[in-house]
Amino acid sequence: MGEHHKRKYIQNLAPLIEKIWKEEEEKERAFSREHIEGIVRKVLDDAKGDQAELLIHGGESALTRFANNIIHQNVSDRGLAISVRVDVGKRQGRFSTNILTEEGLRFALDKAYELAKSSPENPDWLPVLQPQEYRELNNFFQKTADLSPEERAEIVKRHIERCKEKELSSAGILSNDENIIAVANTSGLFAYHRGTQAKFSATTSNGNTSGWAEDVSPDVEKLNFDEVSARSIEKAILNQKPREINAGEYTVILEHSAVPEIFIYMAWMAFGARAVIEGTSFLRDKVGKKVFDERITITDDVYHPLSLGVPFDYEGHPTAKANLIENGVVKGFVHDRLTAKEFGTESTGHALPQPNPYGPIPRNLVISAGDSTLDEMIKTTERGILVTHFHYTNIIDPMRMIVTGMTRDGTFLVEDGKIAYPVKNLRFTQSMIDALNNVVSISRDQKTVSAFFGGSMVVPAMKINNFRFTSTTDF
Amino acid sequence: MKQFLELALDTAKHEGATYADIRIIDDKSEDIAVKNGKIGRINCSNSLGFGVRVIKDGAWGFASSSTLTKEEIQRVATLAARIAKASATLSKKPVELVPEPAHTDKWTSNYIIDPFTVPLEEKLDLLFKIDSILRKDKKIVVAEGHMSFWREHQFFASTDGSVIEQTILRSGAGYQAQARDGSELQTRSYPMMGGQYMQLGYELIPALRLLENAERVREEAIALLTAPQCPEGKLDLILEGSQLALQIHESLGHPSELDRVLGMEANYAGTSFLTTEKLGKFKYGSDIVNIVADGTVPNGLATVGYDDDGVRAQRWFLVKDGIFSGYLTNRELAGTIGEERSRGANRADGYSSLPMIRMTNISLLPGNVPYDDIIADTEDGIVMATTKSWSIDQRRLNFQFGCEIGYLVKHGKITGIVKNPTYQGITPEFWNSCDAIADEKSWVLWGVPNCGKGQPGQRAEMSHGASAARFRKVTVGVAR
Ligand SMILES: [Zn+2]
Repeated sequence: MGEHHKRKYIQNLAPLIEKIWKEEEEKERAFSREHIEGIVRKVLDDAKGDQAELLIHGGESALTRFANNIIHQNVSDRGLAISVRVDVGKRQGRFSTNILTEEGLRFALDKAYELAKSSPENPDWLPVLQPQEYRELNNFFQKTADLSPEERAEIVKRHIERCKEKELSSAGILSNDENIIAVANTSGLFAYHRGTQAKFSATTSNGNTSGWAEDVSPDVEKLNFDEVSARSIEKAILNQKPREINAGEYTVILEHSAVPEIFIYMAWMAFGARAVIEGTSFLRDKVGKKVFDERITITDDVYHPLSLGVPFDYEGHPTAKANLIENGVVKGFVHDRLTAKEFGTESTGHALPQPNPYGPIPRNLVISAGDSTLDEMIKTTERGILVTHFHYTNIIDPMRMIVTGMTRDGTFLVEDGKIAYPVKNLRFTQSMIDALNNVVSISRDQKTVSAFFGGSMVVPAMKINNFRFTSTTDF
Repeated sequence: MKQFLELALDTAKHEGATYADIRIIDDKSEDIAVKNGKIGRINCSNSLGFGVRVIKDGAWGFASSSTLTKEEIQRVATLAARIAKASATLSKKPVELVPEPAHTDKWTSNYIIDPFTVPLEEKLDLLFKIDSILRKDKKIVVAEGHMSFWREHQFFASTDGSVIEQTILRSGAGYQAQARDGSELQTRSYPMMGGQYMQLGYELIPALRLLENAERVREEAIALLTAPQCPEGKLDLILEGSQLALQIHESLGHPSELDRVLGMEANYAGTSFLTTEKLGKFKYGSDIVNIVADGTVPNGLATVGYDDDGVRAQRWFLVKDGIFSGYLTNRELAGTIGEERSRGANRADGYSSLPMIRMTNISLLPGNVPYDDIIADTEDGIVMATTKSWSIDQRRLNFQFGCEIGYLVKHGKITGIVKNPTYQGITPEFWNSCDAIADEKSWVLWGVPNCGKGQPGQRAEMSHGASAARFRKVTVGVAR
């Protein structure tokens, strides 16, 4: 770049800086229902073929990452992508793109049409859904969407100052996301949702072992930064010089953040109607039968005040509250339109983009509360293990729901109603069907927490007998 | 393209960046699946976008966008600088990159047949044929086959003077059969769990001999329904290549990522037992264990000309004669262990992700014993094949794996199959018990297309070369 160009370039910078101040306004426009509906209408009007279905998703996500008491990564991404399915008779083709120019959209439409023409007929083909009414679900908070890198740095700094005071070192994230999702089709259906999510997570280390805490909420003002900070610090201090204990069966007290690992593999492999039809769900022949302790009630409920989610699915079908397990008895499964047809029932609005090999899955599990508290669970335990959360769980046997994984960031031996001392981490290998028949107590309070490999749910804390730990590790 | 690259770097410099780079990436992919005689999915996609990374006031900032215009490049580069400034309010030591020569180059991966020119009908025809073989027996309740192809085309430019254009083409395919009888459910996959992926074109597909193996896969899945349970106890364990590939990935690949070692992944993926004082000293495995990291191996999923720091791909030992000998590094962290040059292991998941240390291809060098001789030499053992489940603690010590099938070995002969085989161990004890590695005849470069790391989560792909190997007295049969 020559000197002349450089001067010209610098002159051009003044409007650019102004533009950054205006950027929130622009984003507002780009993500608005009107703008999205505009794109949708344009694409669907231009679609060849007999019918078409369109998904738009994207938004803006920003994340500040810290480790060793410094911010080491700080990122921001904004964008929208579309996925369009064009049907020619019963032949279907899908093309996805993030190039939303006129040219880019036309290319996507042409490609989807071409793919449809070279596909065989889909015997499961369904006409696209007619326009629907959706229940209001407000999980958009402007403050969450607007949280700036400077504000994120301020909050992280506050936490790190506290860690430094106690001579601890912390790693974690503070993120704020704004998510846009829209589904539309050539029958005139248009579904749009805009939501936000903020998350603060901290692993605080005393040099050898660590403590962890996390909170997630659509509303950044409800995110309890100080509590997460305090809890991760308190656990780091408690978890000094853990002692080794033998593997074996123990009573476990699972804090809220450890509970999702009990349910997440059921969500993916057992509660969806496709797995029931194929016979790979352990619940396939158990409707009306009692499979768990009678205090276990499981629903999929995006309208629960603590759920994070969207009130419709990828077919544009309204998402209903689904009763999966009631007082230990199998009540039903989640459906998309296709499995509902095969079952002779209604879709519950849990479809993935069609066609897909997976079938419907629950996305917002809610595990019902009980009548205990974490403190009571500890007080009433003669000998047991308190688990903060689990690491790297995986399913070994889907029919018996045998799951394995490690404890992490604060595992404690409870003796005579008190936390006695921290213990080195343990590996469990446990049938979750058995675990849910060995429930001792369930907490009154519920929290929104995420599972190790993704997905969030609303869960209480739980105390379970005869939980099987199978090996130990060195820390 | 050049003007976009320059504009980003100039904007960043004007905003006070002491270093900046930009990656502009266009991607193209095709993903098809057939399940139980029906189309599972036909999804093609393309994407375009760019990410700008800057160092300002000694700290990193990164921003990205999918709108490739001059105005947007200026906005994003300025935002990246603003984010760096915010990061700098909480940093200890300014980020310093180890030097790398400026490269101006164009690099393309090897392939013969462009998969995007092969008609969809031909691909579907093969998948439907496999499907009908797998479902010939009613006991098979789920048959699923898939193919995917993706091409990444990337421009990289940095204020250090590098301008690099790279094109990478990757292909993969595979299938799975699930057999059920009552509440017994068993799975067999081919060529490995989730399919085999390589940096190749459509020529990979016939080379995988998918159709030729379908009948065997179906019969093995059915045979597992009535097979005895894997015994519990300590047995000599022989891992076939694709399972050994994942063992290398989890128990050496991840713990030798220097950012994990230094605590940067502590909040999610975890840290590492391979702490820096162990470099060059620690007895990771037995003397016959030699493991290389190799960004240059032909057809490896992680093979590149240059990484996303603009560092030329390299090959080096992670474990040499059993001793832990090297880390995976990038330009930011290589200096912290006194190395003068990065190993070139910094990669990002697309334009919208910040590059971080990722495994390149990591392979166990073949030994000198024919596979059959290892079996013949085993008194009381078990062969385990094809990954089914995997789990490892956050320092990568306690691992537990499940495989699809086990073959019992008695007095040098395979005597029968067992279901639900699992094994568990502690990483260094396990690798130090390795006493035989099969020769190059059974050595295959196995692909892992979906390794997750980071917050926000990023996906990366890499390959692990392995033949079979034997480990003495391993705990097996944990999941009863
Ligand atoms: Zn991985």
